[in-house]
Amino acid sequence: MKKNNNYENQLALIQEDNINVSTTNEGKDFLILLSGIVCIVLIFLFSFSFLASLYIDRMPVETQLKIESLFSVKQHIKTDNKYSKKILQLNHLKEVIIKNDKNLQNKSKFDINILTNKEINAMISPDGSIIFTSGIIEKNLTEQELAFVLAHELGHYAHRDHLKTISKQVGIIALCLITGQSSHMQSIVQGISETEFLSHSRKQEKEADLYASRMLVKIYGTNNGGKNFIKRLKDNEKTPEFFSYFSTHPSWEERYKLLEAQ
Amino acid sequence: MLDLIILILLLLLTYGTGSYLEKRHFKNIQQREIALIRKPIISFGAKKWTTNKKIKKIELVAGEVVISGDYFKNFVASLKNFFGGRLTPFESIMDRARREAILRMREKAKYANIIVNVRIESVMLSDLYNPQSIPQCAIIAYGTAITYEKEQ
Repeated sequence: MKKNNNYENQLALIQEDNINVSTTNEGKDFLILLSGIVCIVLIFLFSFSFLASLYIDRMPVETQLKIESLFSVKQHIKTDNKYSKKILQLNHLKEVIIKNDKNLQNKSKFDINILTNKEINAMISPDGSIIFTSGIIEKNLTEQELAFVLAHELGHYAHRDHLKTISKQVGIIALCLITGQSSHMQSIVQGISETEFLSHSRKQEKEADLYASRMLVKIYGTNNGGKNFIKRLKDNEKTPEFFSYFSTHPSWEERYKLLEAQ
Repeated sequence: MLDLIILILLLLLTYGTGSYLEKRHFKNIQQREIALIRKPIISFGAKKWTTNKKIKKIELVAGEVVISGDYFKNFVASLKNFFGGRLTPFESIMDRARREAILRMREKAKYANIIVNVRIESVMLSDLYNPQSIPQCAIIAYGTAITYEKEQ
C-alpha cells in the first residue's frame, strides 16, 4: 500500500515539471513588446514632426496663406454689438503688437471676434482669426493684461504652431491607418500619440507665453500685465496641479513661474 | 491620456486575475489527474485493440471544453499578431484546455477500465474574418470506454 502511495507522489513531482506548458512569462513578454511599440511610435512621431517643422519654418508665406485659407472659421462667428468698444481696443492693441514683430506683418488680417461663452478662453484659428470668449472680456482685464492674452495668441501664429499641430495630427492619423487592422494595437498607438501630443502642446503654450512676455516688455517695458493675469487665474484655480499632465496647457503655477523667471 | 491610463489599469487587473485563475486551474487539473491515475487508463494508440478479458460494456465517451483567453492574453496576442512570432499567451490556454477535455472525458467514464483510441479535436469558434471577434476555441477529447467483467 505504501508503495502505491509513492507512485502517486512520484506523478505529482513529474507534473510539477510539465514540459507541455510554455515557461515564458507573459508579463515580461508584454513589457518587451510594449517598449518596442512605444519606441517605434515615438521615433516615427518625432522624426515626422521634426521634418514637418523643418519644412514649416522655411515655408514661403504664399503657401502658408494658401493652407490657412482652407481652415477659415470667419463666417461661423457673430460678435454681439455690445462688445464693439472692446473690439476697437483689441484692434488697437493688435496693431501695436504687429508693428513690433516682422513675422506678423503682411500675413493674415487677424480679425478679432468675441464668442458668447462663459469660459475664460481665447484662441487663434489656423486662418489667423482671433476669438475671445465673452467670459474673458467680462473679467475687465487691464490694457496690459489684454495685450498679454492677444500677444500669446499671436505668438502661436508667429511660431506657426497651427501648421505644426496640423502636421502632427496628419502623422497620428497615418500611424492609426497603418495599425488600423488591430484595434488593440491602435488603442496603444493612440494613447502614446495623444500623450506625446499633449506634451508638445504644453511646450508650444510655454513658448507663446514667453513670446507674449517679451512683447509686453517691448511695448510697456514690463511683463507685469502677463504676471497679473496668470496670477488672477492661478488664485481661482481649484483643480490639482498634476491635472495639467492631461491638459494641452501647463498649470497656471508653472506659467506664473515661467513669467517670473523672465 | 486618460484612455491610456484606463487601458493600463485594465491590463494590470486582468493580468492579475488571469494569472491567479490560471494557477488555480492548473492546481485543480493536477489534483484531478492524480486522482484518476489508475482508472480509466487512456490509450491514444492502436486502432485495432484486442484483449483476452471478458468485456461488460463498450461505449463512446467525450469530454469538451470551450476556452478563451482573458483580456490581457487577448491583448498581447493581438499585438503579437501584428508583428508575428509565438503566441505564448495562448500556449498555456491550449494546454489547460487539452488536459481539461481529457479529464472531463475520463471523469465521465470513471467506471471503465480503459479508454482506447482517444483523439483530440479542436474547433475555432471565433470569426477569423472579424478582427473584433474574441479568440475562443473548443477542444473535444473522445474515445471508446471499455469496462471488463469483474473477475470472480
